[in-house]
Amino acid sequence: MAKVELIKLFKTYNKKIKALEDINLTIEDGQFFVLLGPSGAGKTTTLRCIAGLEKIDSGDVLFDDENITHDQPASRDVSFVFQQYSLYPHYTVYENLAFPLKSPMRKLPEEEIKNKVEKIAEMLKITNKLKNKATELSGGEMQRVAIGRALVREPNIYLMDEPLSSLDAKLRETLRVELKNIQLNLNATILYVTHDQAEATTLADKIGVLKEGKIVQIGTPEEIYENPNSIYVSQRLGSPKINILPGSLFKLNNIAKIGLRPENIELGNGPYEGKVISTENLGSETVVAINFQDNEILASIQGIYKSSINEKINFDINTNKVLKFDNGDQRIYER
Amino acid sequence: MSVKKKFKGLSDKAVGWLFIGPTVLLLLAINIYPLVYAIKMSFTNFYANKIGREPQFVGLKNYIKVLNKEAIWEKMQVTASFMFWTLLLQAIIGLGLALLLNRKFKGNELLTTLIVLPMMLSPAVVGVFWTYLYNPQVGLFNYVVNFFYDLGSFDMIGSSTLAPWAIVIVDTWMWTPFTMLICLAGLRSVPNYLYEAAEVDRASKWQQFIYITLPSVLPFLLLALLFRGIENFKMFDMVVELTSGGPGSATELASINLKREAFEKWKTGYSSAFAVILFVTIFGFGNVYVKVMNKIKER
Repeated sequence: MAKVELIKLFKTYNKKIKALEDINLTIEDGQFFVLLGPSGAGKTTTLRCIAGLEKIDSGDVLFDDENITHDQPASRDVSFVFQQYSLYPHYTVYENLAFPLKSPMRKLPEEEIKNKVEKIAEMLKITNKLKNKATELSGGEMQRVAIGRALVREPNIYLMDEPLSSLDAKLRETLRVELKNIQLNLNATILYVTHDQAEATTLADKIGVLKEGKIVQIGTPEEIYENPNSIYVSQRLGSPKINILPGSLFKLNNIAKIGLRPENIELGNGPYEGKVISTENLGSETVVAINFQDNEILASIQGIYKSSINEKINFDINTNKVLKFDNGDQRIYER
Repeated sequence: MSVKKKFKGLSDKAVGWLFIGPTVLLLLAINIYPLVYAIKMSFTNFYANKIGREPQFVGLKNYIKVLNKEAIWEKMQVTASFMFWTLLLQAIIGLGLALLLNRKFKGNELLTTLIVLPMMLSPAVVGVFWTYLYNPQVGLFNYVVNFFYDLGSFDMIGSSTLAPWAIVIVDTWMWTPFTMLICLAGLRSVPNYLYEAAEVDRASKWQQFIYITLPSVLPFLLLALLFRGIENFKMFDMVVELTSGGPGSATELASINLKREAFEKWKTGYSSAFAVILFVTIFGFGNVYVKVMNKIKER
């Protein structure tokens, strides 16, 4: 495994469409780094540039301080899990998993290949499918094989492009946990792309938030959640999502906008009075939507909270946790 | 729904028959009836030029005669070697051209059109103008061969050793574009991310070809060869125009021999039996081939 650095990366498609602008980031050896952003933000392009599948306009890619910007994909020694199940359709699961080990650049003896494939298959619980053809698998199995094909060797870095996005919710959760365990066991360096905030927070050691081809903030999941540097970043994490409200609503007249996490609102008593729009009972918590001076505010309350629509409700906010933003949607830091 | 309304009172099945009816009738009239008639004739000593003579039932005599005739087996051999070489060359060159044309380069489409042109000509016309290209004195083919490798004077059509190659070359020239087009369709169906995955998995170009390209394109290639095989088994027009089966009987394919027996010697009963044998042969081979092809596709 290696440390991977991107320095001043620029990339345009067809000389017109800006895909990446001035990307700088460092992924430490053994780190699980997640790139978070909506579609079109440049997440996949970043991965493809590291893998060498796209030529970059300018900038450098370093593996362990060695510049590999102009190397071919094969000589970079990375492994890639694509968003589509990119299995070799004419071969069995075993042959798919063994494929990377048969490269002329890494010729292993048959016996060793067999051991490695069986170990990975066991880890991903697909041992009983090894003889199946790649096209005879369910979606979840296919993606496990695709992940297995990446994990079967020890490259400089594992690149994963939304590997779980096409799976159903339950399987996604299981594989997410498995993936984190595997990463901890192998002490693997992983760059993982997703737009799913649950994946980002549960998997990441560090999160990089992308917006329109630029990295807007890098930090641990806690930092990104509690200390976002802009409204855009604050909206990436948190469910139900953060309330963005005019500052004047809470007598903060010199502040353009404030961000208020739903869990930082207390219902019952307090100086503010609104009306209940709706309640959503999620079991462990209840999300209450409140109309407060024609602004909708989401509050989340532990446990089950009973109230009826249009009922008057008093609430208070935790002023210490209020995030303040200026006119340009950037964070105002307290002095 | 609108179709259903228009044919009020007709069931879906009836509407279906209405659509395929004309085609079925046409097939019955010009394909099935002659086939059945030929099978019937093959058991008689019918001569189509002897008007008024009632054909007599002779049992399997015609079949025994055909199968025991050494000349027939020679024609079969000529046909088999013609098929072997044309299919082999068209598979290799067709796949090769398809691989080249599958790359992105300027003029790609124009080149494809140019390569496909021979396929659009009439086989008889191709036969006629290749007799000029093969002319030992003024033929372009002979000139080009001599330009690269001095063979002196040679006659592709006149020599009984060269004539079989003459027809193989013309057929390959004409029909390689067909296998190429179908292979190209197969190549275009391979998703690009497979190659990207293989590249990241550090597979060599050769491994990518063996693991991804070949298995994807093989069902297409086999289908093209099935069409070409059936066509070349009954090859007639081009070869008749080019060599008329000569010199001697060096290029006399089974179908040419059949036409001679049927419409020059008027041995109608005998040639009907020969035709039935040819039909059963190609039908049997075709079926076995399709079975094998489906097995490969399932792989």
